[in-house]
Amino acid sequence: MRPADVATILEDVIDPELGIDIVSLGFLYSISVDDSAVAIDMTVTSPNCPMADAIAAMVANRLARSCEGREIALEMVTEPGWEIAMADRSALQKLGIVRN
Amino acid sequence: MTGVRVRESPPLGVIAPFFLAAPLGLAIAGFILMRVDDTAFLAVNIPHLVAATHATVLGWLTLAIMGAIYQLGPSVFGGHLVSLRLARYQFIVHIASVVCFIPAIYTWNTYWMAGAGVGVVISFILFLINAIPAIAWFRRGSMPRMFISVALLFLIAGASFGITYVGDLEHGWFPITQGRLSGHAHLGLVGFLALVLMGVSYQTVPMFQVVRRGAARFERPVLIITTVAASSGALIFMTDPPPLVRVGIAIALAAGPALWIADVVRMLRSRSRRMLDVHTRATVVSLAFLVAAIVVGIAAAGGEALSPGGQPARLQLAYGILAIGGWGVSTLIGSSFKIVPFLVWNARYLHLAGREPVPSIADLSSERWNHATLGLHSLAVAVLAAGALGGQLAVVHIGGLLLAGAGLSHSLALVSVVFHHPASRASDSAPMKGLTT
Repeated sequence: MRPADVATILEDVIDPELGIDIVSLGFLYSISVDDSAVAIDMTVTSPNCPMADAIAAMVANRLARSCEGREIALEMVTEPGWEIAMADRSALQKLGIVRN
Repeated sequence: MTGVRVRESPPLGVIAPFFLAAPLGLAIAGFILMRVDDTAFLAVNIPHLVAATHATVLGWLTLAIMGAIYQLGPSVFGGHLVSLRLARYQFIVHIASVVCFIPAIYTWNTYWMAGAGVGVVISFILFLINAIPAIAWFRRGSMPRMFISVALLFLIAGASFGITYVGDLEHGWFPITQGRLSGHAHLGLVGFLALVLMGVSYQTVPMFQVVRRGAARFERPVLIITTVAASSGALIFMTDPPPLVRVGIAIALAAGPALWIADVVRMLRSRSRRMLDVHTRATVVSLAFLVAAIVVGIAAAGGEALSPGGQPARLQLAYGILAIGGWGVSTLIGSSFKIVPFLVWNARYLHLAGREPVPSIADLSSERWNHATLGLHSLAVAVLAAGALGGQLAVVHIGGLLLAGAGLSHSLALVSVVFHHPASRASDSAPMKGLTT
């Protein structure tokens, strides 16, 4: 399993409030994978995001399903803070910032 | 990392009743306004208007604010409720008291007003026992917490004057002049409601609109100016000052909310979420009503000289409608359409998310219904204000009907969220990848 595979898996995780997947939103800062663990540094829109706990739980649950046998190490970070520039074009379209 | 601890939230069964029952207060206010006669244009302290005001303020706004504080306290401000059972009992005491208080005011039965008023005060005391530790009262580190902490002091002051006036109506200790009534009203309206609404918005607007940090600049000045203006202004109002002084107080009372408007506009302009949802629209609508309320309020403070048709209460009535019904209620309609689905989603689907397909928060409610409710309410407020300013009783009655419809629609919309059926919604939402997993 490569970091890109983990990112693909996490495209299934949709921010319940925004309705956009966390990969498109640019929440994932780093993914590292080895034989025993998957380690992820990620963020959410703001330190006061009401869905932060929920999104962290969703990521952990989703990875637990697909990465059996590996330990999941999830770090929620605030620095650098999330910026809209981190989102990809599809997320920007759904947020209404750019047109289709 | 997060400042929001959803797992610390009280159970949905404790919070939801506050939000579901609250809009019924608005509906009752609407029905009462359908029955007012043209004395409403001569004096705002007639039974029908006092009853409609208290149905809106105690029935709708305060009930929703109580639910929001019980929710925000543990999850956002790091406090805790003393007792969930106490919160449930407090809800029952509040509902029973308000249900008795409004008809007592409507029929001007001072004996029952006194009895039910004591019930409302008991409800406030029970609420404060839970709310003070829930928000970690006056602990440093959060401006929204400071807004709510100060607002609770104004709640105590406003309720103290209110129950004193009710006792005075029964026992005749002193005359309740227009100024004394105005002092009590502004302790509640500006001191309690405005501070809570502004403080909570500094938390919820960035949260729901994905606003970049540092967009709001005036939190501290808004709190200080509004606190000083509301406390000193209410006391000066109670001395029945001349019109020029009243206008000065009105301008001072408006200064904090005016700065807050500037902050909210800045926050909305810097939001990352550009799609207009019901919360965004409600925020914009409420700002428009607040601007109108400020203008009409300052004119109303001028008294008869500025009042159309020589009927002094027309401006005051329009001011109350725009401030309470327009600003306050619109703000809380927008917030409740965010908060209640959020609570329901966390209660029903958080433990399933990531394990199986679950609906998104937006799937829990009908955006169309939410917008229709907001639109109906906005229309009702505009019609009521126009009727008051124009001195047209029939228009006021139509506005009352629309307001009642908005209150019922809002209540039913929230009920549909709380009793949302997962299968019916999830199956509407296309493929698994489109669902929150």
